[in-house]
Amino acid sequence: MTGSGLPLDAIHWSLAIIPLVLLLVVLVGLRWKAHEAASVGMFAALLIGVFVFRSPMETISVASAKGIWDAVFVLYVVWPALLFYHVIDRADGFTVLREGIQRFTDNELFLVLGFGWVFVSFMQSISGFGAPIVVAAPLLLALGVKPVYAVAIPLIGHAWANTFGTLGVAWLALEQVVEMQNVAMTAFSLGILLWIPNLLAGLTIAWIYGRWAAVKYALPLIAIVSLIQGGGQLTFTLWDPTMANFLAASLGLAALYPLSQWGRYASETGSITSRPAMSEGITKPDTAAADGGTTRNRMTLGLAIMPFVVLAAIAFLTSILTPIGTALESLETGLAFPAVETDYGVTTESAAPYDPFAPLTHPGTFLLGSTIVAYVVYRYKGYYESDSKTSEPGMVTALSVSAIPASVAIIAFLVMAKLMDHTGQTLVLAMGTAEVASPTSYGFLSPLIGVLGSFMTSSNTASNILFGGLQQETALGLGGLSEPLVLAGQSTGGAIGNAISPANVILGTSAIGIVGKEGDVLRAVIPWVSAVAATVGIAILALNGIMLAGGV
Amino acid sequence: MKRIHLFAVAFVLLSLPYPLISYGTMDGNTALWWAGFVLLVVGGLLPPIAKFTIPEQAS
Repeated sequence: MTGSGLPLDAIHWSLAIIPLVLLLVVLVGLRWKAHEAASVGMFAALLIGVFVFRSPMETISVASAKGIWDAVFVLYVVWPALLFYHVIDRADGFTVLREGIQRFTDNELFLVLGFGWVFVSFMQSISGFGAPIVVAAPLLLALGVKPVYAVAIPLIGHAWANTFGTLGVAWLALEQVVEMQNVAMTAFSLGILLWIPNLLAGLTIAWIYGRWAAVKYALPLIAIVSLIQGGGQLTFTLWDPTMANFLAASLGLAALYPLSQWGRYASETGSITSRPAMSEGITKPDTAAADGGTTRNRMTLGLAIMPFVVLAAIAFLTSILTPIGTALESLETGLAFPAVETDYGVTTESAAPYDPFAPLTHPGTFLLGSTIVAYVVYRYKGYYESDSKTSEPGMVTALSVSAIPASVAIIAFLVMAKLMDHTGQTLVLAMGTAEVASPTSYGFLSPLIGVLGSFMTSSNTASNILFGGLQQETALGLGGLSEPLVLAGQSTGGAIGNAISPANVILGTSAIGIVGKEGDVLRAVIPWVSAVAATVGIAILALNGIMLAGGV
Repeated sequence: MKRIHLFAVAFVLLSLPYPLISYGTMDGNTALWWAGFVLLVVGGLLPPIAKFTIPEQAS
């Protein structure tokens, strides 16, 4: 996309940011539900695109249609993920899972960190598009975490794993759109910066659980896991950036077992008295009066874990075995769009087809496959014959009630993002920020541009594609800034911005049946993203001084 | 009408413009892509309308 004729002034910058501000006001301030608020942002972007950024109706229509298509990639996770949840839940799988895991340790904080930070990071390393959130949120809810925190915690916990996760797809996108001066140094800088959200995620999750007493208690655990995850990822970037997150996240997951045997975390602690994130204590496995004394056909822990193992195995095999992945990717679909432009000269090239969708390598298919396996096995074993859930609506009804409002919101959000992109509003926001910045302030702000990109598109990859080139040009134009560090700042911002992207938040709220609480989740996560972005910005400035002094 | 029914209609209206606008703009069929755009606008208006016209308990 190009836009040399765009007016870069304070008025246009202020008008371009209105859709985002309005969205945050109605969503977070007024606490409208996401499917009600999303239209407000969409229509604001549309009207500003037409009347301020002089976009013809054909450009507006093409942008809107592309936004609808972008939503397909997310919706194909939402629907299978909700089905995945209901299939396990109706067979009482989450209860069995919770009770089974307690046999290893009944230390709540250990389990919250285990699921909300370590496991969700592992899921992100092999599967993207928000799938880790929809898998982890129900598990945290089953542990007794309050619903809003059950969504907020995995959003925070998985963020660091975004750039190099899913086998480095966002990193590869950055490498593709930017001709880097020093690829190895950029990857290494990213490894350093991504360690910050990794460490701060562990600390924040502990703080959410039980404030400073919990942070103090969990500090050794967090330090060890962060050393494995963040330090491991940093080390592995020197070898192969596309495998760095997978290897580090897998080692982090493997470390949980020995850590659970450590006396400090092997049993519940009495040192944390205030637990604001928990709605109830974990039910002890032996007090199995949950069935009201009736004899129920309960599955084993192995069968409860089975859908997650199948999911991980499918995602892993299709990612690692290149011939399989290539064969599956050959089936793709999508429609064509013509080139469009605005009266300010913002042009978008034609696409035939636009962003083709390969369903067989998409996480939605992995979720669907594991759901079908789970349903067949649970049905065959008779786990749906229990009478405990008969008063609840049918699975299809329950699925529709959650998925339809979420789908409406996701479509409207992504149409808004595409409208802002094709009409030049996004470009004005980024270029305007770069225009007024000094090398120091731009170094600090570069992660925020990455955050903006992933907030709007719900994708670290899309954020890198959208702003990677701009960040590089600005770094080189301003001078006195290390290009690898600014690019690393862009992608780190893109990674942490995923924690507040509305589509990801809706995925979580839908998965545990709290659709409409998106504003509350954002209230919990936005401060974390702001603090991390500022810390990363400061780290960039500090490292920039060191790197320039060293002539890098 | 329950809110969920209105959202289902909105979902369909927000999905249909994709093929209409693609075929309309690629083939130069202005009426077709305008139809897609109108469906998008109507579909987008339904959720806020539901918020102010259909009571929460009806959902």
